[in-house]
Amino acid sequence: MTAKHCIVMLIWATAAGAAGADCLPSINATSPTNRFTVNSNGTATDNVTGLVWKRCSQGYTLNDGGTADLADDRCLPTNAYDFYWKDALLAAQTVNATGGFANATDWRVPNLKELSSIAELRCSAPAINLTIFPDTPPATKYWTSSPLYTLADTDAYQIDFKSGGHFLADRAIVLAHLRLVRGGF
Amino acid sequence: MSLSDSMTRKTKLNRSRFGAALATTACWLTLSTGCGYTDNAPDKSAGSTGNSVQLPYPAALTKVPNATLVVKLYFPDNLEEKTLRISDDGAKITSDAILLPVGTYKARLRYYYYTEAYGELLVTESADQDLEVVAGQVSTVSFMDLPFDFNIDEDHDGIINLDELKLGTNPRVADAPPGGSTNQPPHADAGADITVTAGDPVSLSASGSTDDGSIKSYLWQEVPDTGVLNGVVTSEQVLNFTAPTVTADTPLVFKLTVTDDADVSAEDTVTVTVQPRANTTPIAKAGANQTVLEGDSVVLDGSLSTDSQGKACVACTFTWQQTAGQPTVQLQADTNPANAIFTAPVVTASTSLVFTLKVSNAANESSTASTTITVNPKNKPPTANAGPDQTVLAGTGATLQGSGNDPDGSRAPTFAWTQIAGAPTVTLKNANLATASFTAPLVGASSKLTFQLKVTDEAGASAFDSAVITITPDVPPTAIAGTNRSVTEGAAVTLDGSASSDSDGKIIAFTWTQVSNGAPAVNLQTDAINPAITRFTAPAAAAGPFDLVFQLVVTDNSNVASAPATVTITVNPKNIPPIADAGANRSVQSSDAVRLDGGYSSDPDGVLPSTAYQWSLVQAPTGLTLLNANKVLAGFTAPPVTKASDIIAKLTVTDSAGDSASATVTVTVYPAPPIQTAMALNDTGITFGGNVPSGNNPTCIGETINQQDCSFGRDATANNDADGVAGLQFTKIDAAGNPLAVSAAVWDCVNDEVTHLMWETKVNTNALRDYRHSYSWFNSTGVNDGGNPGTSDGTAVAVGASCVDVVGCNTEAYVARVNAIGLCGHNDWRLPTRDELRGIISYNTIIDFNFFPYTKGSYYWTSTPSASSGAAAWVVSLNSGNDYQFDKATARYVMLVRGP
Repeated sequence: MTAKHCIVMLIWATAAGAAGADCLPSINATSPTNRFTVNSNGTATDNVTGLVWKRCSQGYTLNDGGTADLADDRCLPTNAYDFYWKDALLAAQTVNATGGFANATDWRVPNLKELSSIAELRCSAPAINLTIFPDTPPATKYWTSSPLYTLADTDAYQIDFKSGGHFLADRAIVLAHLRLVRGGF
Repeated sequence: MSLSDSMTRKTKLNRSRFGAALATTACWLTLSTGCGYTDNAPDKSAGSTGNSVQLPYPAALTKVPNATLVVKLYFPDNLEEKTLRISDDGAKITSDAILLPVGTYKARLRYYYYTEAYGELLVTESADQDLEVVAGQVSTVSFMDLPFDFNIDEDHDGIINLDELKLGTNPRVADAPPGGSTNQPPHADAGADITVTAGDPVSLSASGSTDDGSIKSYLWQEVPDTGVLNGVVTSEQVLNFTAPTVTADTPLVFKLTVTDDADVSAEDTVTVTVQPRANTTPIAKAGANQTVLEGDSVVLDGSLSTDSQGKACVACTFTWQQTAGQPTVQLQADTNPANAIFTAPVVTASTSLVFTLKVSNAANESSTASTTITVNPKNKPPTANAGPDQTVLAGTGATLQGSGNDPDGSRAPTFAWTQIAGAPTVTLKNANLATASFTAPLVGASSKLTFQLKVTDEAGASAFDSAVITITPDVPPTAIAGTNRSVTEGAAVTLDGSASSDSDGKIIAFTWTQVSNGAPAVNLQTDAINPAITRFTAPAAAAGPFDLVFQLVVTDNSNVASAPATVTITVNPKNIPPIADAGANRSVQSSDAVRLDGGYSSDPDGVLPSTAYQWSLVQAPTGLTLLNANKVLAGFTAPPVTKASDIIAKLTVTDSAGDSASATVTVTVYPAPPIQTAMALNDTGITFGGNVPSGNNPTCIGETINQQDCSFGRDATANNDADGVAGLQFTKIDAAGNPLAVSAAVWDCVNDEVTHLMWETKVNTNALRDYRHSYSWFNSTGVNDGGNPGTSDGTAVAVGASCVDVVGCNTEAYVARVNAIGLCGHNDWRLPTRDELRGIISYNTIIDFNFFPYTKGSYYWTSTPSASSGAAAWVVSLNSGNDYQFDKATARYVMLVRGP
């Protein structure tokens, strides 16, 4: 992939979502589509973990394209979608406090293991199932609710959905996306 | 000479001419006027002498001072001339006795002036009249309408008696009674001898004669008689004659016989020596030739004629006569008798008239001279016509259409145009031709210029006419350069100024120029036929569009330029076809939403419009349809397949210029993976709350704590460190697979009660499962290897693996060995996935050594290959809990899992 393509992809990351990920059939899917039940309310239920996910990142709104087909589903930015860690926590709180989403008011910021569980490691940039989570930017980090364990540390965990690996970022300095979750077994 | 003398003088007729008839027919003849002069009527009574008459005195005659009018009776038949006497006042004339034989004679009166200097000069003469001499009768003849009576009377008694006639005898004297005393002979004195010149008048006087009584008569005779006195017996006291022409000195002897009243005579002689006169012929001078114009009054000037001595020829007769040339003119007398006057006749061409002057003197000597009068026709002046007044537009050509005609010229007249009024002054072209021209100057306001045409004929006569040319100001034309437009590089571009206009004339010039604006200069080529049009080739625009600005200035026929007009030609690069990008080939699994993204397509020279995209399926299962096939983002849901199947979609993009390009993308659809069984996630083990911007708390308090990790999950709801730290719940398993009490000291495996995964526990016995053994990542199955099986010989890598009882120290071999031994009663051991391994980590204490006592604080292989690099696979650090992607050809630790 050329540098030029990288630039284009960054533009799409904020405008229209990822065009697609590099996915290798030689790697077992870690977050296959058949693992999820896509709900008609903008959520998807992970039938393995029992977690219910907002399909769109916080600040984006789902547009199902007018069909039941997932192929034309889009998550389009409608509000602020980059948060400091605190604001990410507050955003989830606000959702719940302002009527919730999809008839639920127990939305939360996923912890490290939860967010890591939807990383599709057969893919990269983004390492996520775009069928379930449309327009996830190809190289964007998402906050978890998990602070770094070291006492007095300034960081919290993120999942970098470019690779699907962990990332440590300063809670008060680094902006990142947020994907809300609720439920779980 | 006194008048009284003249009245007694007698003229003797030339005897030689009349001699034959003299004896019988000669008689005394006196002259008197017929009528109108009663007071001087001839006295016909006896005793009256000196019959006097009033001579016709021509009114035309001018009395010349110091000149005496002499009147003579001229007989043209025999060329004899008899002098008549004139009274002092010129009004009366008396006759000498003229002896004429009986007969008929032609006679005329001649008038002379006599001056001392020039002698007698003929002035005029009458026409000839017949004079009939009849014995005893009065003959009457009229001269110039005045009748003269010639009385012939021998003795004044009225009876004509030819026998009684005596020469030189005064009948009345003869009739006087004789004296009575003793008579003494008279003394005759003829005067002294004299010398005269031929032609001179000679006067011999007998006045010196004396007598004691009275002298009865005088008789002059030439002895010998040479004919000087023409045989006439002169009985006067004074003898007058003209010295005859001689060739040498010639003595003439005259004898005077004086007879007294007693008839006693005495004689004396006097010798007159006549010297020859030099040539006396007058010199005629007719004056210089003259050139005159028809109608001119021409004076033929003979006044320079002279006598033979070069003196004014007083007594000369001047006769002018036209001797050559036509027409014949009527000569008129001039006040100067030497001159003649005529009016130059009308001629059609130069005509020479020759006039001859004959100058005759009293001696009838004459000479002639001629003068040529060239009469030229008068020149007729030419005509001029400057043509009509005109109004012309400033800056245009104006023509002065003059004409001229010379009615009598042999060649065309000349022309000269000049500007005589008005400003500004113009420069005339062909000012010397009938038709001149100039360029009307540019004026701000109407201006009148006056031009004069001068037509001059060959004779120099000129005619003039003028014309007024009004110059009206010119209205500048309007340039129209056309509308701005865009063209493609390399295009032939036409700039057309034909729409330009001129309200008061026409446009004669178009000037296209390129306005410098940094754009490339083009080579404008004016159309060969239409000057309004120019063309150029749009230059290359590889670097992007630019504007060419052109300026048009038009000039009208007054040479007035327009304000410039500009047109902008935007030169665009040639359209470059778009580049279709249907995206990278990829693999999906059934039920995956496949988004076909044409957004990587591009148009190098533009932006693809939203309508640029068209997707189609080139290869697909029947019934598969595309969503949004005409949009940049199309899509389909991967259909169910039993084996990897390619779906080929084609994207055609069309740019705004209509160029298109296509690309295909192959989506390989793999069968969906087996549906995973439900498996709850372990909690994270985080029981503390974090602060913002920094710091953690030992317990679950901190920033927006109700949203922090510690507030949820088993860590919060089932936190029991006895069965695993925090929310983790483990069960020890013995070698046979049986669960053991938490307190068991020996166990081989650990069961995760949340995820239901069974974990191998490591040993420190240097045996197969020793926790210090390391392996390279190796997967030879061709499945889930990331396209790279890894390294089979872990010992050969840089920091070599070390193990026991496993050939090659690779993960696959180790798994095989563990399964071979049937660890904990199972032979489905495998490498954990990344998240399975992550699942047993507490992100506080990491590994619960109560259940996993032999664990390296290092990296453990997972089965998950790296999607980023086929050479790598995920590891999880059992020191930090963090995940990484490490090269498969490195030595890492292994902890196997099975289940659920």
